[in-house]
Amino acid sequence: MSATPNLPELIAYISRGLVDHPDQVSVEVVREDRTDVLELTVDREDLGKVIGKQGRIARALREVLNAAATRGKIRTRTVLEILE
Amino acid sequence: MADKTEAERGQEYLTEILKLMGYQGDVTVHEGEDRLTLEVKGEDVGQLIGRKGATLDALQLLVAKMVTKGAETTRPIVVDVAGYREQRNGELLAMAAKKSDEAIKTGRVIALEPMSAHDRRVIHVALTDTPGVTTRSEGEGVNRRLMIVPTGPGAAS
Repeated sequence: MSATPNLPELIAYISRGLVDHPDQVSVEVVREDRTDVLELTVDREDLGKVIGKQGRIARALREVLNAAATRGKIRTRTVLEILE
Repeated sequence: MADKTEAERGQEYLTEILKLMGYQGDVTVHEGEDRLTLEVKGEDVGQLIGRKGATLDALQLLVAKMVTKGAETTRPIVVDVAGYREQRNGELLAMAAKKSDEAIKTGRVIALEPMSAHDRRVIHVALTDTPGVTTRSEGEGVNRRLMIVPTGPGAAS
């Protein structure tokens, strides 16, 4: 028995834990052709916290997102975009 | 939330992240003096390791950032699955021994594949006391790799 991944909430949950303004975190799912784009929006002051030095945090978020998508056998490509 | 210890918060964050990723795993805390280890146990959790531990490293970085947010000093946080960290260290030590022999035998600089800072450090420390070779890192970011450099007579520079 395995649970189903919840990709938007996964990204939102981790992001809320990283930022100073968790109430400003939102994740919108935008369907583009055969790709789901997860648009992560955070407070302007928190951008660095979800991107990290040399993009380390953003890369880790994408790694975890891809692992979860693979786990859920989600056929649609899912990508993360970080917006202000 | 301020009343919870780092260990409790780390356990809570990782447990919720695993659930949202579609895993049913239990997170056990091992409190060490120099580190806090969060070990994942459960069905299929081996898939959480990823290529060369990439997924595990990503989880470790994110959970550590969530736990230490705003905190001044803290112990390193390690996320592990099924003893993977120890197994990987063993593989790295074996690779260090093999590649340093090769460097000494051929007199040539051996470039290892790009690795995380942790993995490079394990090999670097292992070879510090090995006569006939030194190590240095080259490249930036995710492409940073360790070079094993022979120092003995007849070594090509």
